[in-house]
Amino acid sequence: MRLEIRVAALATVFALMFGALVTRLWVVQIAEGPEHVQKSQSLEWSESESTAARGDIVDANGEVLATSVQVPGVVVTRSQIPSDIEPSVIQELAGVLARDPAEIAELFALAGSGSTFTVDGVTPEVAYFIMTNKSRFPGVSIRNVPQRVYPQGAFMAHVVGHIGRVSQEDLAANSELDPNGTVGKLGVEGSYDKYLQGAPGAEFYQVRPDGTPYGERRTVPAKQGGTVQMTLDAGLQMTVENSLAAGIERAKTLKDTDPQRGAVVVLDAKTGEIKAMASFPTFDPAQFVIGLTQTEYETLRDSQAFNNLAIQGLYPPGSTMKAFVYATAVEEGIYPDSANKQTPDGSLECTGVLTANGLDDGSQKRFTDPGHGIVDLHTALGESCNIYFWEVALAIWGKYQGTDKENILQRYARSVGLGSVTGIDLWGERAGRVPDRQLFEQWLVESPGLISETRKKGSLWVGGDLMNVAIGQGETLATPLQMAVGYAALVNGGTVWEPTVVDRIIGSDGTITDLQSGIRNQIEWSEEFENLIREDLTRAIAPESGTAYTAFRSMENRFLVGGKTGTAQRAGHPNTAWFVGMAPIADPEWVIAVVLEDGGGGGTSAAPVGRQIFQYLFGETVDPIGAGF
Amino acid sequence: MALFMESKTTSEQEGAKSTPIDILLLLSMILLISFGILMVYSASRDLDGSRLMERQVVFAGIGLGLFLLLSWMDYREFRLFSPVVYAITIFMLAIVFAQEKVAGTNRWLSLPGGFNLQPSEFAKLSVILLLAAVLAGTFDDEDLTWRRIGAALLMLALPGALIVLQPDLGTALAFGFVTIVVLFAAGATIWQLSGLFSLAGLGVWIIFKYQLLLDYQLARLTSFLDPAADKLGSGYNVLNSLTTIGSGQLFGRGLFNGALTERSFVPEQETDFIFTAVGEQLGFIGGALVLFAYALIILRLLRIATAASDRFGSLIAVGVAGLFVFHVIVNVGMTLAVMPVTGLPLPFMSAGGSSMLAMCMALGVAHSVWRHRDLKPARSKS
Repeated sequence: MRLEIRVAALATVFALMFGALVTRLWVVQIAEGPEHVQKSQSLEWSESESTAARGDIVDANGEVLATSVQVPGVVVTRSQIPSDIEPSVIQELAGVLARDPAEIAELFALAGSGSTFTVDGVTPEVAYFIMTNKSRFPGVSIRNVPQRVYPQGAFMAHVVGHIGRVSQEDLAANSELDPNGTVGKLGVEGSYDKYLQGAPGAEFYQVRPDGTPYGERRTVPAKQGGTVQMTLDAGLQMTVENSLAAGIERAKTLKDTDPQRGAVVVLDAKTGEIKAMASFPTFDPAQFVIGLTQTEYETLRDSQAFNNLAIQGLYPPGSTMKAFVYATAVEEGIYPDSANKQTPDGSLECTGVLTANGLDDGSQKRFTDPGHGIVDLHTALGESCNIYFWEVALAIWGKYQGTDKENILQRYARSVGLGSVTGIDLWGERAGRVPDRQLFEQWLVESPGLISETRKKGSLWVGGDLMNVAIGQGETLATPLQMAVGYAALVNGGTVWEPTVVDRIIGSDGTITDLQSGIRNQIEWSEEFENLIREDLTRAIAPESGTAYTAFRSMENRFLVGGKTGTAQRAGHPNTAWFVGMAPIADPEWVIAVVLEDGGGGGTSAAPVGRQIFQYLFGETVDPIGAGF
Repeated sequence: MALFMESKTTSEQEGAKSTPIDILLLLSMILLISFGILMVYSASRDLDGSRLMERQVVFAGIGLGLFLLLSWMDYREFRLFSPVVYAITIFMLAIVFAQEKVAGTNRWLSLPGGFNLQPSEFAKLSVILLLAAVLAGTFDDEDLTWRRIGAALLMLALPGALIVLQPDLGTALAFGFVTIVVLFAAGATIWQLSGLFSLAGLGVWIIFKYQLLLDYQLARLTSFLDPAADKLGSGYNVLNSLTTIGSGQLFGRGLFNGALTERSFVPEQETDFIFTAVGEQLGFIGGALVLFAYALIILRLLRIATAASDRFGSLIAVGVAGLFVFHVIVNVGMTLAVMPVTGLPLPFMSAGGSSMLAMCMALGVAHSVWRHRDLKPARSKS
């Protein structure tokens, strides 16, 4: 029986071994099962992202200004590159792409380990080279990737904008961005990026352990970005850009000028839509796609080619300010003390000399200006008589000095949008400035360096300062867009627009989102003002005495155009030339603001640019920029 | 050679009535073989289509034939022929060295028709038969003498050495396990077993002291301790194997629905790691059922050992039981990361002809012991 006992002992040992095995099986499959299931999922599926084609940017008539095309691109799948040979792959890539290895290495680092990212769009030759030398480029593949194309080059560049690689700041602002993708940096590309981006797609495919695809594929197609339709009209824009460039070229030939920069805005006074917007000098957004050298970039940057001066250029508005003083005078019933009547028709004789008493310290001051003879509010606006508007400022000063109505003029200027951003749907807009006592007090506390020693000792804010505000000088600064919005409010029944450059967004699924311009302020003009302003604005253009008469005299429909010129002084610079115009004057639709930095006189340099644009808008033959002179 | 001739033959009993077949044993075996064919198909169809499965079906057919043939033969014949069996085994184990190495080892014997024979698989059965023959002795209930143990070890030395030289560590370890199990059943005393273990310990000490193990053998033996330590080395199989089995959970992902098995996620999944296919597709239920079937076979073998008409038969049954235990525990344990990766196939299930035929034959011989259990044993000496 010893055998039976021994066999029984063996049976016991074997049973224990099997028991242990089943227990282990239980642990692996039941206790640790969910963990293994999760891991198996990640082992089964591999993911390959596909970049969404960026949406188009088109003008009001559907003309394409930015689009995406498929080009061969170098796509790196880092997970497929053994880490020990990664440096050599980076070297090879840098060589074939003619780029700095450090730059490529940085892209690798930015993308993160195991990621898939596009290095560059490449020519077919480079693509072919990489494809035929696979052993030198493990983990590098050539795939069609969307590339941004600007078919019209530099045309409308400041509004269309450009794209660039996603930076750390971009990521901080929008964590949903693909760190290896691109993002709009300027213009509509920037401010409408979330509509243009689309959603990246992905291909999920099952893989064998060696990474080769196997079995099922699930594709989430990339969702193309939406089409952004702008309010701008390419035809008008073409005229605007040509006229601006021509105006600058012509102004260079004039005396005491040095025009290098300028901007034009065409605003729809009835809708707040921007119909055209140009800034000079300009750039080609495609340069950001193919890459700029540091020198190229710096040259462009220093010339302010990347600045949209229509919204970023701050200039003293000069005499274009007078229309707002006009509004203050009529609405508040404040006219020059020397006028024979305290009405818009009350006249005074402008001898070119103004002697003011007791402005601040009781002393007498003398101001000079070309004489205009007998002027009232109407002719003072058309002929841009400084003396008349100074006297309005003096009347305000005399009446309200030290009271809360002291800055009544500035309040009117602010109510039409000066001194704060208009809120246009583009990045980087600047606010400008309408100075008053409060601002100087604020500066005294915050940045005393801005206040002169004489002011610190004497009076901080004096009557002369208000006189400066009345003629758009001193510390007054405004952008061309602000002037366009402000003048629109004078002639459209008081609507101060928050302008837009985009009309609607057409999603890739066909859904249309209409965008409306917002209204920042609604002014109730008096009937008196409404009755006077349009006619008086024509006085700069139609009569021979008008400051823009010469510039407009070749234009057939000049009697339907209103406007105001401005010749602003800037210390150490030639004058800044301004023109703000509107038409048809009975019920204005278009408001144009033109500025030529260091361009000289508003009537001689800026007004011809406005005239060419109005000629185009009225369907006339556009006369040469120098016509009439 | 006299050692093999010691006991009396029972040829005079030939022609006597044999008892019916062991249904449980046969059913378990058929269940495992069928499961195995399904699993091999599921694990190889993506890359090989049905080729491997068809081969497995053919081997299963031949294996069952051999099982039946050996069941009907009188196992005691083998005692007579044991010198011949020994000679053939040594010859086969030696001839592989004349062949070109495959994957760094001399394990396979190329046969005409593209078949590769793995003599070491058959050597396991030979060793059991020879051990049983040497240790059975007479049925005088005499104690197992040192002399007899020495003879058994001497007999094992040559095939054992040839196996180690191949090198096939798994088979060598299987020899050792089976030898100890059979020695124990044959009546080895605690002193004898302790002596043998001391001897084995000394052997292991010498192996490590003089670094006689090849690097890969050592790595495989130790990788199971921490499979994560070497992800793409020997631990790779084990980590993937764990994930694959673990993802089956209780009920499995369904036959032909094992995502990881489908794409050969675990290397060698149709051969050594076939249990991963069971684990993923059939879950704990399937895996436990398979282990239960093996346990049944082993239980039946132990029952046969106690019912055998002679000591030779008993030791054969115990030896075969030990062989199955070792293969199942080491193989399944390996897929569950509790045993070293040794390359031992899972009986009846791993793809491969040699293992299938050898295991069928081993079970056939043991079954013969069962079928001939009622023959008058030599023990009575009447």
